Amino acid sequence: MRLLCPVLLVIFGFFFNATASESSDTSRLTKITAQQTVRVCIWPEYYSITYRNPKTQQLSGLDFDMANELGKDLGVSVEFVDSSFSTITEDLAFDHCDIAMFAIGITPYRKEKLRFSQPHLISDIYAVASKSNPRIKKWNDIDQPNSIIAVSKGTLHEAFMKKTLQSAKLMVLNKPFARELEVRSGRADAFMTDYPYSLRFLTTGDWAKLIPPPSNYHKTPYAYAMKHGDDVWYERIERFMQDIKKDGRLMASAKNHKLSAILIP
Amino acid sequence: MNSQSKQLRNIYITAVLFFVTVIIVITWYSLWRLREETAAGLLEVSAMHTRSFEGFLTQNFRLAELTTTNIANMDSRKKNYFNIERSLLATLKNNPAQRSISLLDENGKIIVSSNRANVGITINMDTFLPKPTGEQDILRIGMPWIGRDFISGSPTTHQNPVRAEKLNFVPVIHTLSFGTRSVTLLIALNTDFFINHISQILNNENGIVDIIRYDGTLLMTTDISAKIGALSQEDQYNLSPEAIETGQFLAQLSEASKPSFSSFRASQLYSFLVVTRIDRNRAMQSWKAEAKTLLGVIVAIVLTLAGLIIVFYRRQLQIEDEREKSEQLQRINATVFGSSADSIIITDINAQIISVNPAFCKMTGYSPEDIIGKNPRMLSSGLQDSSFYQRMWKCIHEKGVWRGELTNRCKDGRLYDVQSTITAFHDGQGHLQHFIGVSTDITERKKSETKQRQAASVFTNSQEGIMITNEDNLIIDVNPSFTRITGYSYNDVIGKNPSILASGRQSPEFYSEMKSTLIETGSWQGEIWNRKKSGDIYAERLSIDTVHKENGDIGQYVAVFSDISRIKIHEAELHRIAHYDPLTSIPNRRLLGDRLVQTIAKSKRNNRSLAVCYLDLDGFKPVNDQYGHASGDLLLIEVTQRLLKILRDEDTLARLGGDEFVILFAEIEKAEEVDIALRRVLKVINEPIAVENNSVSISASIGVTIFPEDSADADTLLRHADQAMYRAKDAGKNRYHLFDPELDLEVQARRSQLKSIEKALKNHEFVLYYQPKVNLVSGEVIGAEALIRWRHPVQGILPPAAFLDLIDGHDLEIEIGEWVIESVVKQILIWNKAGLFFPVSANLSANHLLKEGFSSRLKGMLARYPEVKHEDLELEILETSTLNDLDQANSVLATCRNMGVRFALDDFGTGYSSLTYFQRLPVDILKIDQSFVRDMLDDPNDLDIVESIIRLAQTFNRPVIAEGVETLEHGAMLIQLGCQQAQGYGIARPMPAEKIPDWVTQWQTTRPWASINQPLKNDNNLSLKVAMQSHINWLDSLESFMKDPACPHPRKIHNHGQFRRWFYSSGFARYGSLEEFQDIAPLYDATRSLCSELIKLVNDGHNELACKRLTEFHQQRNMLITKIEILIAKLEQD
Repeated sequence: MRLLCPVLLVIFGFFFNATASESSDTSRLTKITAQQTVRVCIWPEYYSITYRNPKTQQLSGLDFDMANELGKDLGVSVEFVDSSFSTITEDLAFDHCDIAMFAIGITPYRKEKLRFSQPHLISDIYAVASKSNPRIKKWNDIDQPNSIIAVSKGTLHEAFMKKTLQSAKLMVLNKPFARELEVRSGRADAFMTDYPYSLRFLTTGDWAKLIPPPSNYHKTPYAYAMKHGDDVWYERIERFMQDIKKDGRLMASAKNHKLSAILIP
Repeated sequence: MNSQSKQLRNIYITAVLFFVTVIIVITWYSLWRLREETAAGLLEVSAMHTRSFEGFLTQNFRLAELTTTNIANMDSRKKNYFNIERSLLATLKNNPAQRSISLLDENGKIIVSSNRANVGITINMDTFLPKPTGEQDILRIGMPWIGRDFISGSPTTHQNPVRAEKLNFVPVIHTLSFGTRSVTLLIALNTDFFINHISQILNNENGIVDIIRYDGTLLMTTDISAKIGALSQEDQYNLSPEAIETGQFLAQLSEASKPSFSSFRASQLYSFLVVTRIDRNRAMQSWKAEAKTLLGVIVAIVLTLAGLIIVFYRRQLQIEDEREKSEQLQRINATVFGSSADSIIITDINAQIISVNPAFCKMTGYSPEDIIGKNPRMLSSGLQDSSFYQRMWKCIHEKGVWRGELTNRCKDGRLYDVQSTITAFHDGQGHLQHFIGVSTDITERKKSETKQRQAASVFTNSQEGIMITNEDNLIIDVNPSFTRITGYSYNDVIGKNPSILASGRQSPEFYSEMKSTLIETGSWQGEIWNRKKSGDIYAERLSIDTVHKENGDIGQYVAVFSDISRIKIHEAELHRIAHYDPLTSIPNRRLLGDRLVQTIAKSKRNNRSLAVCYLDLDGFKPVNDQYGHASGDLLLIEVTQRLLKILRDEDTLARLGGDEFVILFAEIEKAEEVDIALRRVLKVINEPIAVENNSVSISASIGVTIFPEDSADADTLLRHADQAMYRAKDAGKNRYHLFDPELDLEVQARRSQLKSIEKALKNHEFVLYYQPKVNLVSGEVIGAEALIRWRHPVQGILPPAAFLDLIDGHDLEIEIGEWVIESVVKQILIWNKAGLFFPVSANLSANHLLKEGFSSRLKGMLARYPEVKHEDLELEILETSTLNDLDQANSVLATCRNMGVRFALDDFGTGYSSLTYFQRLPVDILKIDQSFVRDMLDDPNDLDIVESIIRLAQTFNRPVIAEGVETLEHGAMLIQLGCQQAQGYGIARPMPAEKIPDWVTQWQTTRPWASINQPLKNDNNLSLKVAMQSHINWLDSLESFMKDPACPHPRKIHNHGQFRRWFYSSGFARYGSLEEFQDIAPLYDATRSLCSELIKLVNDGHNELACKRLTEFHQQRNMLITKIEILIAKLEQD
């Protein structure tokens, strides 16, 4: 407990400071410029978007490239803050980062909590199952009795599956790479993910197979998320979005990460 | 198909079959080997997979064993269940092979599990193998379960296996003992994980992998249709894991299942084994594909090769066929080469002969051994120069072939002509290999061409007209001379009958005789009158010959003719000059002589008389002197006309010269007829004649002798008549006097002379003198004429004139003639022995020639002297005018000429019918009478005669010889006229035979002929020049007479009147149309009247007066001569 108190102090102190600065009229942009750092929240398990290779700890992906571009545009360094779909609202709310850049699906629920930039990607929902699983071969095989479907907590899939699944059981996981292990060990039959994740995942996971949905099953636009308010910052980000779309940086990076198919120009 | 082709075909079929068989065997073996290798490889692959999978499974089982060991240790430390559960969950992280881990209590109930739902479930551990033995901790494998985990699953049993596609897992338990206490852990192994792993390595379609527990329970399989939990038939597998750990086999698990390459391997640690079954059919698919590819390739190769072989075979067949054809062609070529009539030479590139054909050997006489390896140059005749051969080789090198004619030389040196073709022979690459020379012998052809050319040339250039008709006597060809002579062109007459030329002068009998002669003898010669296109009639000498075809039928008639109109004119002219008096146009002395001879002969035959009357005008001279020559001439003409009126046709009136005439009365039956006729003559002469407006009266004195009362010869008869004429004059003129032979001493004298001649012959008093004949140009002695002499015991040597006339018609004539001929033959023999070889001639009288048996006697005589060549004997026929039986003479001459004896016509020009005889008698040579030759230098009339005779001889292409050549000037003139052979005093007088050899030597040593100037060209105007000179000479004589009347009277000298005669006769005939000639006439008339006046002055004794007119005379003379010279100049200019 002795150890816990100073930690809490620091946390609340920080929170306070943050709240204090938030309350002031100065834009986040001014602060970023002054501090010469922009803090970007990422989900480091997000293949092709913001993926940290566990063996090298190197980040890669489209939004990693765009965060760096943002840093360059702002003339500041970029600090990456690990986050996830389940924690992103809080991370932004508590000012752990200035912006979340990891292809966040724009859902009504999230829109209430977060302010989204214009979308730059759009993806449908995909299922991944074990290759040797003879029981799931097509999309309709997913929602069967005795089936267990894994999703990551806080993702748009979780919300969508909760609504959608009728027979199958939903397994919501909040541990890194838990979805894959559950499916591989046979404890779950499939997990739900999006285009960027599945694309990259299938190139390494030779045991898995992709179950694509019927066309335009549930397409969701992806964008960057900020806290509500601070129009200056928001405008700056919108300008950035226009810039990267216009000057081809987005397209170049999308090509590099094989995401041209889902790019919103 | 021949045997060679069949053989070739069999070889090819055998080869193809063998080849295909070998290919099939190799292919089959290769495929078999490949299959075996593939099968072996697949078994190996199967084993490899088995090994790999076994290792993987064993490792995961070992991981499970380690996991359980780890947890059991934790449990043994009595950790609480919460911790154990956390530990179980942590263990599962990153371990997808394990689905859940549970901890069991002693009863097999799950007390803690990674999946809380499992807690409370009891696991029947009896089905796990191997069964526990003692305390050994060993991983035991249970029956597979259906479901996700124990909570939702159920175990399978051998009796109730479940299809592998259902979600399943394999439970394994591990019981570990810790002292008295034992801990059992239960792991649900995720079969999906293994199957997934295996499937990724070995596709389910290619092979199936089974994991089987030792008891045969199928734990896992990649075959989703298989039932897990089922018990495999051990005997089917024939497995004995206790004995063998690994193995391979080819198995078919059941009737329904497919054959497979199988291998198995037992886990090194746990009680399962891995069986890999690779689908044989599928695995062998690659081999099948490969085999198909290989077979496809092989079949394609075989087909291609078979196709190629067929193509090759057909090509071979074609080549074979071509070779056969080529061989056949070669055989044909060889036959052609061998049997060709043309010579063929083949040389190599260096022109060395490498082959010749038999025709070459036949043509050249060289055998192949002689010529092979030699250069064809050895055939060269040397007639072609080197430039010819250079051109030839240039042509061969440039054009590859040369054609032309060559003259070559045979082995025996004989020349032959060839038409050659030399070809350069190149091989397929165009390299020069050989030269081939093909030659046709054209020697005969060339000869025949030359002959044809000559014949054609003769045909074309002949001065004689030639007409060729076919067997139907239609004209098929004529030559240019035909056109020139007849005026008909080629096109005018072709296809016509020669009768278009007929003049109508010949009777139908003439033509039928011609036709029959042609049929009988095949030829016809003669003279014929024809009509030109212009309508003019002309004479031609025609010779027709029949040309027979090979089968003897008549093919063509060839008619060769010459226009002898000119000759006829010549003849007539000659005849007129020689025989007629130019003033009165009545016969002259010569013709009179002929007529007299003929009439005597005729009288003898007819027993009729003839009267020879010699008539001299009385008082003519005063008329002549008084009125001039012209008036005298007119008077003579008038007298002639009057006499002709009263004479009969058979009578002859001749003028001997001056005012002397002769009348021959032939066919007299009674002497009274002569008297009547003569009275009439005297009467018409007495009638007054108008001379220059004056009437003059003259008369005539006539002497008459009558034959045969006066049985003398012609000359004697004339002489007798002359004598009688003088008697008539003496008796007072204007009368006639008859000669009385009985009163004539001559008759007696002749009888005694004949006797003495006969005696002389017996006494060998006759000798032969020989006069040489020479060629004036070459100087060659061409012969000698034997002339008889009488070595009279009293009178000495007598010339023939002294005795030959006496024996005319007498038998002695024959005797002496034969003696002469035999003597000549003897003399030829003597001279031949002395080395002199030339023909010697003897004179032969017409009587002698016609004497019966002449030719046989001559033959017999010649037979006595066989050494003498008959050609050396020449007989000169005298007195041709008495040859009244021409046919007989002709046949005698022909017979003798067949013996080789030659004949000459002597004294040509004097006889009345000389020309006729010449044309019709087959004689070898003409002798111009010496009387013409002797005077020709002075008398242009004689010169004209000589010239005409020479031209005549030339026309008929007969040699001509001139007698009476008294000087070399005569010789020069003769050469100029075209006569080179001569005889006369100018060359040599007749001499005894023994002097001839010396003379010949001397003649040839001194070469007198060499001094004769050779004329540069023929002078056609000689007679004109002679006439001028003659006139100049006469004028000179006149001048001398004027100066000195003692000089000969101009009217008495021989050349008086010559120019006038010539001027108005042949001169006028020749040059009358020329203006220059016509200019002479008035001058000449003026000169003549001047001369008459001058002569009259001198005659009257006024020669001084005459001399005073000399200047006038000279002027006149010079003007005349100038005019004549202008004419000469004009003629020579032309």
